[in-house]
Amino acid sequence: MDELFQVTVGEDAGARVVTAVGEVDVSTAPELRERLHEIPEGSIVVVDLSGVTFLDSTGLGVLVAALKRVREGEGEGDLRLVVSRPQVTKVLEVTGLASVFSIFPTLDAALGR
Amino acid sequence: MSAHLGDLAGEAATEGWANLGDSGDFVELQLPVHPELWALARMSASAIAARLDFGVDAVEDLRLAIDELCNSCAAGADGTSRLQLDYRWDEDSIHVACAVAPVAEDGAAEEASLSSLDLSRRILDALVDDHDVEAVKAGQRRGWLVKRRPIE
Repeated sequence: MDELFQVTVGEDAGARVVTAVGEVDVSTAPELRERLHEIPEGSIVVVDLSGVTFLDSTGLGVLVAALKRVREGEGEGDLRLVVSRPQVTKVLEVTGLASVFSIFPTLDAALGR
Repeated sequence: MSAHLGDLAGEAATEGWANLGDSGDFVELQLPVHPELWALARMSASAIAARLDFGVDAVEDLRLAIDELCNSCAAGADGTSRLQLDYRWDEDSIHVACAVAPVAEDGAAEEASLSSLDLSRRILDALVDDHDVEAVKAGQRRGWLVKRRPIE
């Protein structure tokens, strides 16, 4: 069932852009964790979740760990989220994490364009 | 193992659906604790909620809640563990009981995933009307939740 999830990493406007598509749960979150861990500390990271149809506590835990990690390095490290689906917005809100992350409705907005 | 899990889920269910009555409708689903199979649990929950015409938002809420119930009950499980879900419902509510065995006694495995379990609890608090996940007892963990039809 892992073919239901894909994650890619690219660069745009000086930021590392991690694009996730599909369902992020306990079986797919390790792949997201692995790709995020490859990014150096102190980087500007944008995680595009606009193609994510399901996000559970395991996926949230991966995002929180990645946020801590990028902020630990030297520089202006930050992790921004692109969220457009109401169900993903809802899970961020009910866990109190909506106020922890910088959340944008589009990739362009997250990249400051 | 199978019968024992069934008994456990039934005992948890007794607490979770005390006021449900005898509707006669139920579904039992038993899986190995392989996280890639959680999608089957989500699918069955959303199918039941959709059949009861709970509405798109409530179906999505239940889908996520079932996933979190499975995550919470399976903390400390190993490759030999099995998970059983019992779904029962009436016109206005869906009751789900979950049991996982074998599960390591509360301790290192549970502490390692404490933050994840805390997020699970917050999600369940927000998305369902009632829920509980018990401490490990004799190598098994049980939990349950109730989702009522949203008031229109």
